[in-house]
Order: sequence, then C-alpha cells, then structure tokens
Amino acid sequence: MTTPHDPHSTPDDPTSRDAAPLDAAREQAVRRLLAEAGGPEAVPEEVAARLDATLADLVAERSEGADPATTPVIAPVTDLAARRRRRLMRGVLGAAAAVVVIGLGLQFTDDTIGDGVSSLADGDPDRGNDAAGAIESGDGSGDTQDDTTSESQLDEFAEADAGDQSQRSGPTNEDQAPRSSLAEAKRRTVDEPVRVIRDAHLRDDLVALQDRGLPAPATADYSGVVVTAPPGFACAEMELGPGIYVAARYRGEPALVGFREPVGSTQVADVVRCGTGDILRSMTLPAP
Amino acid sequence: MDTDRGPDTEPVESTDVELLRAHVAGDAEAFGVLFTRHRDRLWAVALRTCGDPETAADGLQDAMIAAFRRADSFREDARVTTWLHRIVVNACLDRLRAAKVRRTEPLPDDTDDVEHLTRTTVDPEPTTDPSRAYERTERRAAVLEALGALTPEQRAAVVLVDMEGYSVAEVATMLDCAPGTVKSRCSRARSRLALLLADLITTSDASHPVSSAVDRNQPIGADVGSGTRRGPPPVAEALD
Repeated sequence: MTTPHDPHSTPDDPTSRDAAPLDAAREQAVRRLLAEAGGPEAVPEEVAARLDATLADLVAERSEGADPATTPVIAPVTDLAARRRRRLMRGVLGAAAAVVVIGLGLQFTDDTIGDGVSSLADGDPDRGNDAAGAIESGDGSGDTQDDTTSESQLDEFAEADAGDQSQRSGPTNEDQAPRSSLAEAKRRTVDEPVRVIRDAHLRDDLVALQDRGLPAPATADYSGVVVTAPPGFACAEMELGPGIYVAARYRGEPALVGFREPVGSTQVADVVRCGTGDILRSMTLPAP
Repeated sequence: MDTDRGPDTEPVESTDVELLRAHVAGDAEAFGVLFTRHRDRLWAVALRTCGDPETAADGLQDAMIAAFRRADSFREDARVTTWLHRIVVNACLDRLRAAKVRRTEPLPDDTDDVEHLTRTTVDPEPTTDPSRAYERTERRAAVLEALGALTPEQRAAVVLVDMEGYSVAEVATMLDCAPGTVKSRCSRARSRLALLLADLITTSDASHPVSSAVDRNQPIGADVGSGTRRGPPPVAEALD
C-alpha cells in the first residue's frame, strides 16, 4: 500500500523530488483523498485529562501573581514519546552513583545566552539565596502533592531508590571523580520552564527532563559540571560531581537533577537538593 | 469581523480575540474556553503532522503552554486560529526534529504508530452501508500511512492545505514561510502521495466527485469564534 517512511528525507533532498509533477486530474484525486481523510478528531480522554491538568497548573501559577509571559511556568509534562522509549528499555539497569558536597551559592541571571555555555564563577551567593526564596514563595501549585508527602512515604521512596541502586554494578566513576564548586560550574541558560519532579511520577518526570533538558547525545559532555537552568533560577552553593545538571523543583524547593555519563544503555539521574547537596532521589534511566 | 461563532454556540459566546484579550488581562477562565473550543481541530493537525498519537499529545501540550505564556505576543493582524495552528505545528515539528536527533533509526515499535493512529481516527462521515464504511476506513488508513512517507515539512503543509482546508496564504503564515514554499511542499507531497496511493486514485476517481476543499475554506473574517469545522467538506454531495 505504501513505501517505508524515509526518516532522512528533507524537502531539498533527491528523494523528496523523485515524483514527477502531477497532471490536474491526478492532483485533484490526491487532494480528494486527503480531504476525505481529514476532518475533526476527538481528543482522546487521556490527552484531554493531561491538557486540563496542565492548564490548571498554568492558571494556578498565574493566580499567585506571576507574569505568565516572563515567569518560568511550572507545568509538568508527561512525555509520552519518552515513555515509549523507556518501555523499550525497561528492565535494563546498571550504572553509576554520584557524590555531592556542600559549598556556597549562585544564581542564574537574565543574561540569557541561548545554548551557549559560560562560567558561573561570578555567581553572587547573596543574590542567589534571595532569588531562591523568591522562587519558593512564588509557586508551588504544581507540586502540592509532593509537598504533602509524608515521612513514611519518603522512607519508602528511599528504600525503592536503594533497591534501584542496588542493581547497579561495581564502584562508580563519580565516587572517585573530582568535584567542582557550583560557582565554578559551566552554565547553560535556556528559555524553558522549571519542571517539577513529583514523587508519584518520578520516572516519568525524570525521563521528561532527560528528554528536554540534555543536549544531543553526540555533543553532551559529562566530564565536568554543567548546569542548565532558565534565567532567574537560583541554587545555593554546593559541590558537585561530574554530570549535566538541569534545574527543577522537588517538594517545593529548587533542586538540580544530575544526569551522569551514560554507562552502556543506562543513565543515572540524581535529584540534588540545592544548598545541601543531598541526593533526594536517584533513579536509573535508559540512556538518551 | 468577529461574528463567525458557528450555528451551535451560545449567542453570547465571546469571540476568540475577546477571549485572548481577556486572558491577557488576567481572566482565569478565558484561555481554557478558547483552547477547548479549538482543541479537536488542533489535535487533528497535531496528530497528522506528528504521525503518532504520543508525539502529537506531547506537541499539543507544548503548544498549549507556549500559547498560554505568550498570549500577549498575539498580533491581531491574523486570526487566533491561525496563531494557534502555527504554535501547534511548530511544536510538533520541534518534537519531530528532536526525535530525529535522538535516534538515527526508527524504533522497533514505530511501525505501530500508524496503526495506532488509524485506530484512534474516527470516521467523520459514518454511513449505514457497511461495505462503503469499510472502504472509507481503508482509504483513510492508507492516506494516513502514506503521509508518514513525507518529510515533516511537506506533511504539515499538505495537512493544513488539503486536509484542514486552509488557504496557502494562511498556511504560509502558520509555517512562517513564503506562499511559494507552501505550494512547492504541497506539490511535492501530492506527487509522492500519488505514487503511494496509485491504486486508490484509480478506483476512487470513478466513484467520487472531485473535491475542492481549499476553495470552500476561504477566510471569512479576522477571527474564528467557534469550533465550527472549516476543513474539508464532510461529503462531496453537500457541496453541490
């Protein structure tokens, strides 16, 4: 009925020009078929529910006084494409852990440089702490569920994480790796909302962050410390092991999700508390 | 101007532009009303542009967030629906490009996508004749599968022009390119589809009158205030 899809074809490549121009009758026939196959599609219930929940988060964010045009909106995205990739990799485990040590502080200011990378060595600790407070008071609607997590639940999570890590093999690279101060880390400023990491959807949220927050695998450099965050995101100082860190919020507080260098087909993601460096959650994901 | 509210909407219903203005002014409900009004059409475009429901869902959600946050960037020299479609298509193309970077080969379950898409596609013209309904469903499935053989840019153009019935000028605005580029992409897409759907073209020529969906979807004002279908006609007979 059809030929296989050529994912490498572009408008300018030969394969996209392989068909001769149509005569009017055949062109009309094609257009008729397309028109017949067109028309409205009811949004599936699952998709509608996702959209409604996201919209509710957006509205709640704005109702708390944030300017939707300038404030990083916290809107958790359940990335179905990422989930599909994850399904394929389910059951494959084994990677590395990371070590984080406490240090000073810094803030991502508004000097957005797109995808460029610059040093964070000029971070101002006071400014960073002030902004961190502002973030905490400015949102939270998207993670109400997380803020109400009980201690017993946290214990369960810790046990689950421990179980996850127990499936990893051998000593980790990060255990012996040199650590860097957050203020000395390289930063990558992006115009992306700060995403909420939810306990109840930890894997989905981490995969979504992995999908959207990391550079292309071919260009990703895990040898140092790179922090990706939107302007205005603040995180108190600490020392970090090698990896690519992405700004997030976890249980109502600013956090960094550290993605470690992939090992084989897996990659470890650690949720790191800003200022203390505590690893709050850790999970092994399929490599990007 | 803002009078196209559709036959089945409330007489006092706000237009798209009014809702968007209200949203920018701080109305907490306005954006939801606006987006829900057009959600099915936007979903259809996302689904056919992305080629699979999961990517389409992600793209539509990305687009909704972007539209919510950037509503004040809307310039009233275009229709709200054009602006929304532009955001949705761009979000979908971004998703597809990201996926292309991520993987150099199709995932094993990618072959399920078209099947899934076909299953989730509702025949807008149900008929009581089972054999005719089956033929139509098969044709739709074949067309949707064939769309997967196009480049994302070609697919977006032909979906918007030939399946949704927008004018070339509007689609050029949506895709942020010249009208000639839209025509070129559509032409290449149709040529390729003609090869892929040769059997259907042969058989359908004899049994169906020629459609002219585009001609029936000319802009009628600066705003579309309803979810009334502007795309291809439901049945050819109704147009005569």
